[in-house]
Amino acid sequence: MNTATAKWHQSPYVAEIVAISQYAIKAILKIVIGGAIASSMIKGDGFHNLADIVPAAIVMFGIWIKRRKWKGYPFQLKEVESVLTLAIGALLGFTGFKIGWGSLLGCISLMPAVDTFIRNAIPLPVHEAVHINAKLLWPLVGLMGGSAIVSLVVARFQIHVGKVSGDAALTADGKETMTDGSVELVGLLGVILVQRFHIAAAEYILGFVVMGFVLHTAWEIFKPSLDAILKRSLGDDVEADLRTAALAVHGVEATGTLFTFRVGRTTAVCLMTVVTRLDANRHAFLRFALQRVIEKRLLEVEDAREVEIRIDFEEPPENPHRSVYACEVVDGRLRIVSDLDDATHVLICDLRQDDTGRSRFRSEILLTDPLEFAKERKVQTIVLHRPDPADPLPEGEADLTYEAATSSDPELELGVPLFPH
Amino acid sequence: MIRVINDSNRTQPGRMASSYAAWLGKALDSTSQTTDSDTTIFVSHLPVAEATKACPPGAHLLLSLQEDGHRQSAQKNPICLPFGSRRSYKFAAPLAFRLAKQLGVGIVAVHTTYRKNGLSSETPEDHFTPETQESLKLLRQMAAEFGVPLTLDVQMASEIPGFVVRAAIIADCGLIVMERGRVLYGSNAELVAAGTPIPILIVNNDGKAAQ
Repeated sequence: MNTATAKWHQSPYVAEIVAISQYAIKAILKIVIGGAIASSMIKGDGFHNLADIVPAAIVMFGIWIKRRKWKGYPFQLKEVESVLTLAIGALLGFTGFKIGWGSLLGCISLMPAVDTFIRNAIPLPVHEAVHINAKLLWPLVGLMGGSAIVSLVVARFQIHVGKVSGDAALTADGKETMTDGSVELVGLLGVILVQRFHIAAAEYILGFVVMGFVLHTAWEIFKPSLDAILKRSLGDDVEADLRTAALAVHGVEATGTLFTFRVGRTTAVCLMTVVTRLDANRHAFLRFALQRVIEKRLLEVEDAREVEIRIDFEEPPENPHRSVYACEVVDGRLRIVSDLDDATHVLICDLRQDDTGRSRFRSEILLTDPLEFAKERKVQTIVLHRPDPADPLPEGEADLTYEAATSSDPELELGVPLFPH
Repeated sequence: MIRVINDSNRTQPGRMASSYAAWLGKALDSTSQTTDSDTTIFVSHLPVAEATKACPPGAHLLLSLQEDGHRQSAQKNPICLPFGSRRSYKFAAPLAFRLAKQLGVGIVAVHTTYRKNGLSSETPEDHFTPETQESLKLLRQMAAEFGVPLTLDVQMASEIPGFVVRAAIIADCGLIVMERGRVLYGSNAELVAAGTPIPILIVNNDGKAAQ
């Protein structure tokens, strides 16, 4: 998406400014109110919101960087996005484990005997349960609940804009904001259940649920970025489709090496070698035809919005073909025979791969059985005289076929003068 | 009846041209029973100048371009027919429609037109000359007579050979059918033949070839 022409509500910069603003406002409110009511929990959450401004600012900077052209970087700096989303995924994963650890400590603290036993074996951090003044419960619910709802709304906005603009880092940051909101809501629910209904373990059980949700989101963000940085291929099915599409293009004899990977989240790259016998004059249009079909398939890859395609051409490997004309000598000249049993001489023809020169011919006296000769000399085709092309030829075998020569004169048949026999 | 012949297969490319000719002959149900009024297509793997010399008199020249027929038998690709004024496709169009009918494929008629002075329309058909509009009408009639689907691709492009090849590629055509032109060298047909990766049938327009 061209951010210059995007509507304001689809601009990734606006989305991140909104995110940063809500973090700043929440931080100020929580720190001030938390200080006023001596609530370390609220103050701590306020500082947490303050810290969240940093990754949001980095994401905004990353979006700006990846859109610029940088000399010496053919793929620009799109991979910065993968690095940022990798970091966000890692951070989120750490947050998830931290929540789970806190919940585990909390659960253990509810069983004093178990708690003592474990602490005698391994040193554990001190777990401090949250105690809230009953009079402040509902104002706290209002503040934290409102904060959570704002987080969820802003998160939806970030994710929506990230998908529209193709900025994976923005989408990832939105998911991170969403987990923040979810953690706040669930934490709040836990506090209500504990304070109002005296369900001591509720907070910690909900903590495990949140941990699962956060870790799942972290993996969703982390894995694709890791794949992009490690240049994982786009998948066997994509590569199979690309080869099939290329083989359907006129002039393509075979496909050679094929590499596919992503740069950033939205750029799909294909490097392909194509085997063709067509001369260089035709390569321009052959490349045009191949790029069309490859681009179409690459844009079907999830999240792909841009493609980079490089096609190299190579000639087919040497594939020598040896034909042998079964001949006899009549009046001092070679003549192609109709029946293999009548052959006393063979005219061996090694076909050229191209038209740059004549195929090589040489004649030899046939000293063994013709089929033995053919096997020994790796002959692929035996040519017999058939004045009427409709006359049947002998049945061939796996590596040996028969062809018809309409003229018994090999010079007429081959169209080239031969050395006299 | 359409009769398919090919040149010597004494090189690997030649063998591929023979294979292509064999596929085309079979697809057109060619037999060895020939008559004087048969349309003859000469399949060659050689460059256009050499192939033209090798082409028997009265035959149309098909440059198979390293195709061996296997691709065509798997795909039903339409035939590309560039058209302009009447004389540019007088012999090519009937042969193209006959081939399309027998192969069971459609025709993609392509044309480039210049922009008419003072006409602001972006629709290429609005810039057709009366002659070209007449040509299009005739092509539609031919399509109806032969029962062959006809698709039109018209652009305002200044370069004809490049446009023809790109249009054929975009339409996934399997064959381009063009008339030779009034000159052998430098004609649009030769320029297209020099660059196209798609086989091209250069139709003999000296009036001697059977249609």
